Formats: sequence, C-alpha cells, structure tokens
Amino acid sequence: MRNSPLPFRPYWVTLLLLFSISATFAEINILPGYMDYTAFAERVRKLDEQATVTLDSLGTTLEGRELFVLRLAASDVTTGPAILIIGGVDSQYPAGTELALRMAEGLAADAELLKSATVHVIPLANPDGHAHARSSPGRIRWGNATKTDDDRDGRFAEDPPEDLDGDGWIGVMRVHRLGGRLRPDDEDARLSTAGDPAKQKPGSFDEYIEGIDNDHDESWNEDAGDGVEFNRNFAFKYSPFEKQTGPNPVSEIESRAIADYCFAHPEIQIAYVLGPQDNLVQAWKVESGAPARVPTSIAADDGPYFARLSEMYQEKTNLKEVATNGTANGAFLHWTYFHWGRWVLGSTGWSPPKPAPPAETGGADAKSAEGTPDQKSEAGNAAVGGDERSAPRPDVAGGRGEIPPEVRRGMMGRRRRFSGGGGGPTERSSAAVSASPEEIASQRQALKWMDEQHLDGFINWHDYPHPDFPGLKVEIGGMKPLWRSNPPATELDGLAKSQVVFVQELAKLLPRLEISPPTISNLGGGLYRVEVEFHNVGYLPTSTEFGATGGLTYPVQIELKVPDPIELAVPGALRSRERRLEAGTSRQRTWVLRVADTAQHQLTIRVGSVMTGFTERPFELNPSPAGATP
Amino acid sequence: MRTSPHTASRIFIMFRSIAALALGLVCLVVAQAVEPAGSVPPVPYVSMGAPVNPKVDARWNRYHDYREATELLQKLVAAHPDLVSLESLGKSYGGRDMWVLTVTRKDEPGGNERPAFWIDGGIHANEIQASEVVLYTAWFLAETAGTNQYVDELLRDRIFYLCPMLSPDSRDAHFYEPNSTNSPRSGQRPVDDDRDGLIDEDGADDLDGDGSIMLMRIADPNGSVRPDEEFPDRLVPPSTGKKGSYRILGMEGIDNDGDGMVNEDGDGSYDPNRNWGWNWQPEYVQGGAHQYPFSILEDRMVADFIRRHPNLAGAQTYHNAGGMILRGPGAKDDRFEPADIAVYDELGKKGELLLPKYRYMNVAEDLYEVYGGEIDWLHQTQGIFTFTNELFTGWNFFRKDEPDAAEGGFFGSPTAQYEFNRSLLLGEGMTPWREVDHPQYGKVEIGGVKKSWVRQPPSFLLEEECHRNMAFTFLHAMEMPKVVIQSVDVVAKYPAEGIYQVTAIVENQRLIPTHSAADRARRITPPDEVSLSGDGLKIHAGWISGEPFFEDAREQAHDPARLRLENIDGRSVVYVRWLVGGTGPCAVSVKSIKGGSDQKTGIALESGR
Repeated sequence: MRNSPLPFRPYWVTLLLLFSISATFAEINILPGYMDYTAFAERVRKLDEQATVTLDSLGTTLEGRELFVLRLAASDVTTGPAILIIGGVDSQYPAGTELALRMAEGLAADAELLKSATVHVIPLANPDGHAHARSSPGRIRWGNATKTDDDRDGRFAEDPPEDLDGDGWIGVMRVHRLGGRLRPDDEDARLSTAGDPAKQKPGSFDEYIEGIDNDHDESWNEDAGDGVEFNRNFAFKYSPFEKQTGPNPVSEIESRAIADYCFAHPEIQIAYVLGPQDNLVQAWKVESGAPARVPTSIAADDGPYFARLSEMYQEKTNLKEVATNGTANGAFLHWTYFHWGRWVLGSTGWSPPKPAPPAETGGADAKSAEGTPDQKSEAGNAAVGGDERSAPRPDVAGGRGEIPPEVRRGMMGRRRRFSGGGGGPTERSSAAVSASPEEIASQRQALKWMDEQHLDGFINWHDYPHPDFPGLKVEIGGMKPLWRSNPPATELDGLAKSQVVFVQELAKLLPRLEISPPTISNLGGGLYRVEVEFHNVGYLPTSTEFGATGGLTYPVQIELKVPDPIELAVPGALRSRERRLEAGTSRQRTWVLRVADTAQHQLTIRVGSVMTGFTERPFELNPSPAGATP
Repeated sequence: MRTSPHTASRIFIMFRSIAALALGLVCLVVAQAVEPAGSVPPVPYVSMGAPVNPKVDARWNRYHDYREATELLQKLVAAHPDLVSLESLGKSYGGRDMWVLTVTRKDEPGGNERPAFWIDGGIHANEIQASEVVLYTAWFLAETAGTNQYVDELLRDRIFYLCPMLSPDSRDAHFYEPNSTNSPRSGQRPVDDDRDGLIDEDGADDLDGDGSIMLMRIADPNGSVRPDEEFPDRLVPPSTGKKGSYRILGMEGIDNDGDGMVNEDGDGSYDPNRNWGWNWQPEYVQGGAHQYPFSILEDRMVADFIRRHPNLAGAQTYHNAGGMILRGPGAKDDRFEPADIAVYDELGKKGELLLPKYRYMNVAEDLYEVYGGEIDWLHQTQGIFTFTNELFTGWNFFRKDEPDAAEGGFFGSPTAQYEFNRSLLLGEGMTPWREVDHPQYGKVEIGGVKKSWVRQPPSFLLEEECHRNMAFTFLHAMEMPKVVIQSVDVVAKYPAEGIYQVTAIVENQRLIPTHSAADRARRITPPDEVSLSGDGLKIHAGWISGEPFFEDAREQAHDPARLRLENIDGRSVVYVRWLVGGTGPCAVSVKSIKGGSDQKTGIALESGR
C-alpha cells in the first residue's frame, strides 16, 4: 500500500470513476427539467414493478445503454391487437421520450384499455444519440456512437467543433467580410437571412459552426464523427451517402433491433411515433397521379382514416399546429406505413411556441388561430412525399455544417479532364447556407416566445478574435439547441395527459371481428350446408389498404374446424382468406359437409389473423333424419 | 490345402510385376548404353488446361456438396500454406460456416493491402455450378502457382478472396432435400409466405420419393395438353382440331394445411440477391426483398467483409443460366456513369470472346429489373467493378443457334432439351411419367426434368464452364488498377537559393481507374497519395497536373509532402511536382487503396540536369 504510486484514498476512486464514466456517459442536462439517461432508466424500472408491465431490452447500444421496451397487457391477454408507442426517434426531441414514458405510466393503470389492446412502448429509440445531444458543450447532434467519417475523406472525426469562448455551447460564428452571403434579418437582427444584392441588401458575413479548422482543409468543423441518426436510417426514401444516414438503411444496432421487433410483432396494428414527423395535425393526403413504380403516396382507401384520426387527435389534445414537420427521408414514421404496412401516427405532442399576439392589431386573434401564411403553406404540403427542403428541421442556420451540394460538386469535378483534386475546397465552401424563409419565420416566432417566457434560449452575439480569420471581425452567438424544439419541462405532465386520452380513444377504434350464429341446412343423405356470416364491428379495417396490397399485412383467415367423422362433401378447403375487411362490412362462407354417423358433433368457426387476433364460435351439428333446418 | 483362385491371381500379379520391373531395368540399361553419357530423362508430356500433377486431387466433372467443398478448401490450405488461407465469416442460419478463401503469394510487398478481387457463387443455392467455378478457380490458382507466368503475376500483384457458397444451407437443401432444378433460390430462414400465421407449412412434397420435385399431370379427356409426337414425354398444347388428353396440376405436392392452395408456403422464400443495401425496395416493388437491407445475415456477413477490404477493386459473382455477362445497374431508375460503363464495355466485349455465345448485357435494360442486387451494391457503394455471369447457355446443347430464337429462353428450347436428354444424356435427365396416389387428386402421374439437370451442365460440360469463366475473372483481375512511379526527374531550379524541382510521373498501367466515377461522385475511397520524403528535406510547395507542362496544375497548399490525387485514370498518368530545399537523397512513393503502391528511393537532389 505504501509503495503504491497512487495514494489510496476514496476520493481518487471517485475521481477515476467519474472520469471513466464521463468518457462515455457524459450527459449534462442542457435542457432543464428533462430526464438524463440514468433518471430515465430508473423511472422505466420503477414502472416495471406494476403488474400489467413487462420490461425487456431489445439490445445494448455501443455505449452500453439499454433499448427498453415496455409491454403493457392485462394478465390473461397473450394475443390480439396491439399498439406501439415509440419516443426518442430524434435526438433533438427528448420531449418524445418524456411523453412516451408518461403515457406508459398512464396507460399501465388503465385495466379497461388493456383488455382490448396490448400496448408496447419503446420510450427511447436512440439512447446514445439522446445522450450526445445533451452532453456538454451543447450543440446540435443526432447520431449514435457509430464511428463515422462525416465528410468522407478517409479520416475519422478529424475536425469537430470547439467551444471557443468557453460558454458551454457550440454556437455559430459570424465572419464579417466582403463578399459575405448573409446579413441580419430585418425583423430580428439576431437572426440571419440571405443577402440580396439585387435589392441593394448585400450580405456582409458568412456563418460557420463554432470551432477551428483542425485539419487545415479550409472547411470548418466538417467532421465531428457524429455517428448515425436513427430517424434517417430507415429504408423508405433513404438518402445514401448523406451525413449521418449510415452505410445503408437499417444498419445500426438501434434501427435493426426495432425493425426486428416490429417484424416479430405482427399483432401491432398502430404505431404512434412521438417525433418531429407529423401526420396527426396535418393528415397525410392521397397524392394524385398514376401510381409510381416505388409508391410514395398513401393508398386511396387509407386516406379517410388518416383524416379521421387526425380530427380525433385534435379534438382530444387540442393541438392544432405543428412546430415543424420533419423529412420523410429515412424516417421511422414513414417506414412503419410504407415498409411495414401499419397504421402510423406521428406528432411532436406539443404545439409550437407562440408569442402573444400584438395588442394593437384588431383581428390578430382570429388571424393567429388560422396560422400564419407560412404555416398554411406548410400545411398545404402535407403529402407524405415532402423532401428535406419543404420540411425544414429545427436548426440553427446550416447548423449541421453540411457542405452545400453545389460546392461539393465543385470540389469533385473542377478539372475537366483531370481530377487530381480530392480536396481543396475554396475558403467559402463550408460557409453555412441561409435558412428558408419559412424557417426564418419560425425562428422569429420562437425568439419572440422565448423572450416573453424569459427563456434563455439564445446566445447573444459577442466578439471573438478567431485565429483562422486574422483581421476579420468574428462574432459567436445563435440559437441554443433543444430549447426551441421542446416544451418547457413544466408542461410535460399536462401534455402527456391528453396523449393518454388520445390513445385510450385509439384503442376503441381497433378492428373487431364477430361471427353470427351459423345457419345449418340438412340436405339429406348425411349432407349438411353450413353458412356463416362474420363482421368487422370495429372502426378501423383489419389492415391498411397499403399493407394488404403490398403483402405487408395479414389476410383474415376463415376456418371451419370439424371432428373426424365429418368431411367436405366436395374437395375444397375448410380454410380460406379475405385480404381485408373494412369496418362495418361482412363476409360469408358456405361449406357442404358429409357427416358419416348420426352422433352430435361440435364444430368451430375461427376467424382472424395474427394481427387482429382470432375469434371463435363453437356450434353443434345435430344430424337428424328429419332433414329439418334448425 | 487348396490354393484359392484369388491367391493364385495375386501370385500371378506379383510375378508379372517382377517381370515388368526386370524388363524396365533392362530397357534402362539399354537406353543408357545407346544414349550419350550425361543426357536427361525424356520431358514428360504436359496436357494443357488443368494442372497435371496437383497436390490436391480434385475432379471437375461432378458437383461438391457443402461438406466436400469444405474439405477441398481445407486441403488447399494444408497443401499450399504459402498461398492459401481460409476464414469463416460466421455461421449461416443453419449453422454452416461462411467460408472465404484468400489466395495470393503471401510474402509479396504490399502485403494485405494489394489490390484485391472478389469472387462468389451460389447466392442462389440451386444454381450449383456457380460454386464449382469458384472452387475450380481457387484450386487452379493454388495448383498452377510457380508454373505459369500469368498466374504468378496475378498472385504477386493481387489478392483473391473467394466465397464459393453464399447460401450454404440451401446448397445442402438442394442436394439432399426434395427440390427441383429451380429450388431453393431462397435461404432456409423461415418466412410465412402466405401470411396465414403458419410458417413454411406447405412446401412441395416428394410424392414418389425420388428426391426431385417434378410436374404432376392427370389424364383428362378435356385437358389442355397432349403428348408431343416426337418426344411423347413432352406435353404440348394440342394442334388445331385435336383435343388435349392431360391436365397439368403444377409441381409435385399436396395442400398440407388445408387452405385450398398447394405448395404456397415452402422453405424460406426470399431472394438473397434482392436484399443488398443499395436501391433496396420492399417486397411489393421487388419480390424476395425480405424485411430490410441485409436482414439476411449471410448477405450482411459478406457485405461486412467487403467493407473491411477497401482494397477490393474488382468482383465477379456467379449465377445460372442463360449465358450472360451482366453489369448493373439493376433498376431503370438507377444510373451508372458513362466513364464506368466504358470500362465494363471493354471487359465485357472481351468476355464474349472467351465465353462463346455469352452475351454482355445490362441487367435493367436487357434482362429484368433488380432492386437491392449484390452487384449494384458493389459498384455503387464500394466502387468495385463487378460482373455477374449467368453460367451455361442452351446453345451449348448442340453448339448451334436455336432454329427459333424465341423458343430459346435461358435454359435452351424444350426441343433441344428433349433431344439432348435422349441423345446425349441417354434419357437420364428426365423421369418418365409414372403413377402415384395423390391424397387430394386421386391417381396422378409424376414426371419431367430431374433436379440435377437443365440449369446445371452435365459432367462433360462442367469443367469447360469452370475454366472459361475463370479465365474471364483473371482478365478482369489483371485489369484492376496498378500504380507505378514511371519516372522521377530532379532539376536545380533556383541554384542560388538551393531550390530543386522534383517532378514525378505516376502511372496506372491497367484499364480500371483507381477510383470509378461512382467512387469519385460519392467519395467512397480516399484519394491516392503521392509522397515525397527525405531527411533534411524542406518542401516549399507541391502541384498536381494532368499534363507535363503544368499549365493546368493545381497547388495543394496544405501538407504538400503528401499530394492527394482524386483518381488515376486507367492507362494514364498524373504528373506531380514539388519545389524543395535541403539535401538528398529523397524518396517518392505512391499509395493507392485500390491500385497498390510503388516507390523510388535514393533520389539525389544534386543530379540537376
């Protein structure tokens, strides 16, 4: 002990322990009142103590966090329809996890609901991504812990951003210079907008993510090695070779585990995704035009159901606006419909921050209730095929440090015949491009709201002498991540309550199969005709039309079970199928049976699928020489 | 005691052997007496083609099952430890090893980083000769090393990775379970094909117990087909005015699950060659797609191996049939760059010469559309030039064109098949119709093509198929990029300041560029690097140019000691130049991930011309 190079004192152990944890688990809560992973895991395990709850892990992430799934079921229910609730698909929306977990807590206590449907809850789909998004210094980060070469230059994470001013945040750098492409926004000078020389409003600065050019390639912070983003890693409208989308669709531990879970649970009929993609406030609409080889529109027959579910959502939650509507590209929400064929619902679970209307304008209330023109234009674009441009992400301007496509093209093909370049972007190449007008409008609104609420969500611009830009005025500032895209923690309980009410209503809409008493006719000679009618008495069809057409869902099986002395009089089948039953519709089946003896027999009609669960109706077949119809 | 005839014959043989030995000795003595002293024994007669005295004995007129193929691979490793190594990528669904064999001269400069060539077969397991070509290639490379200059050059400059059985469970299923020549294309992972909640519950049934799943027919005076006049076992639509006499009932099987459908849910039923991570689309767009890209573990293992080997610059995958040399893209909404297509064209045209009656084609435009295919993934995401060969062509039955081209199809016309069966297979390729009891249809007849023929060449055609296709891959592997430093030239540029100008010409001697156009567009492979190094060397600046006068040169301001080239095109050069101070000697080296490396050392700075 005396010869030990380190004096053995408890504080050493603590320090070492702290250090080793912080190397992988550094999670500093940059969003006040939100759970970190440890608090989250504790609360999940607490919920597992309830009788209706079964806790499982779908796997362990690279950094050792669990992919929890909670199954809420009445003790005697083992099959039958289920609803999946999933949060934390997007690391910029920790509110999704907060709400999903609270919903699980609320629904676990609802014995009535659990009789009619099982509820699966995956509260945190991308635990590592969430931890990264909230580690210090605060910056916008989506990815998991997969090692990535974000700028595809063969070197990994060689140019991450740095907190130069030491304020705990990675902000944006405004580099003032001739030829700058951005200028302060007219309405709120804290924001930046594109210069417009034609209107005599030239740009005066460029923006970069805070940091230095570590690899001296004249690109700033282009490779933080940020991993792969769960919500861009799914196979519908996947964007290959884009930052953080992964080497191929469903390439990650998290996405694969959750996709596998989905396929292993065909009984899940509805997936409710709490994330940036919305179709509950702005219902998905059927796109007109000839069906494409690769469909991107919902099926025509599914349209009315999406519309009705959206109406119901707005009634139950009173949420009528979306802050943003995320891209379909690689998103989990779209995948669950287009590649898994299920009913899928998406919402952030809260309304965007909205400043109080200016007092002096008379009709302001009515106007704001309808939404701003910008919001309307977004609402008009509610078809599922929205690409990245029509669906801006919450972000500081160009905050992902992406190299604009036109610059990237220049980097690669500048030499006509000879392409020995392989680098050498111009100095301006990683300057951020300006946000869309819609995005700037949304930023203005958010700033106003934060000012009113006295929320500290903006880093005010302040000078910083930057070694990479000698002689130029450089300021650091900008929107803090997460603040704008999530509700204040104090609102979470209330928001979750209305979500629970919505899911309770949702469970009542599931398809329900019922079988009418069969009609039996004695045809003489030991021959009997059995006719049966069965019905979907729920609200939703037995599957989406899209899933049925695409072979993704399960047709309804209709089977007559007969004991041995009974056979079909004509070779045929005792079992057959219906691809789909709309709500309020009925179907019939007829079998002609030959009964070899005169004993009384019990037969059973079984209708259903692994999605809907099975309904059975036993009945007696009582051979009588009289030939009477019972 | 009686001497048995057996013992007697043994004694006779012994005597005969002694006699022969004696005769040989006499001959030798005579020969020595006749020939001048010091002469060598006669040169043995060496037949062309396969190695004459291989260390590992192998026959290439028969098919190897999984176990035999595994043994062959292991024997090659044991016999050629300096050339061959074997690894398993992991276990398949059914617990079989996913073998990858590495063949190269192990101790050459460049080691594991030399340009590599990938060959696989049997992703569609019923296409069994695909695996044989890969096994033959492995065996030929190992057994020919040291005797053939061309092979030695390949083994010196290149590494071959060979994966003979990409779907090993189904290879054994094809060999040892009831199947047809067309099955199983899928792996053995269970899939509920008809989505009734029961999994793989209604596959084909081998009603006559002969191991082959064939056709069922039933006599029916109102049937739609009747026996052909030339080949009575063949069923044809009746000619005008005649009636059919049989009804075809589909492939051998029964309705096992009582749902009114026969054979609707057999083993697996996905397509491992539609499950790759480029332009993947779900089942309703692309049949066989399975759940998501690389949801098929065997595919994922191979993809992971390939990703771990960025030195792969060329690849070949084998399928059957129809005699095709295929390149991507698989889908019409996908696109290959013209510069890349030009490379494929040159190799593909040469392939048409080596592989008689094979047609060089593009999958999407000339065959059918494929989403999520292996070769598209290799080209579009890994920057690897890849062909698929569809082994065997119906032309090979009689080495002449079909009289009616439309009748030809992938596997030859029925007329040619029946004639070939009768005249060359002596009737062994097909089973004559014979009666069995069917639980649902009553008395039916079963007959037709056995599982081991039509898509697979018979013994006497197999070896040729193996050799010709191998030769095509050798050509491709030879044309992978090979970078060398052609020259280094030093000029005392500003003698007063002690500044020298060092100019190097870096050459890619082969057809394929170090970066395909697809690779460049997506920045898949890091740039090639040309470095100048030396003690006491001060590098002031460096340029890269496409022409010798540096009129269109580009300066690389950062780290000019390591100039980064986006590409060195096929059969072309890139010029690099440095202005340096200090003293020599210095070294110029080039390193290309897909094109290999080279260096020139001991370059004196004083040698100014």
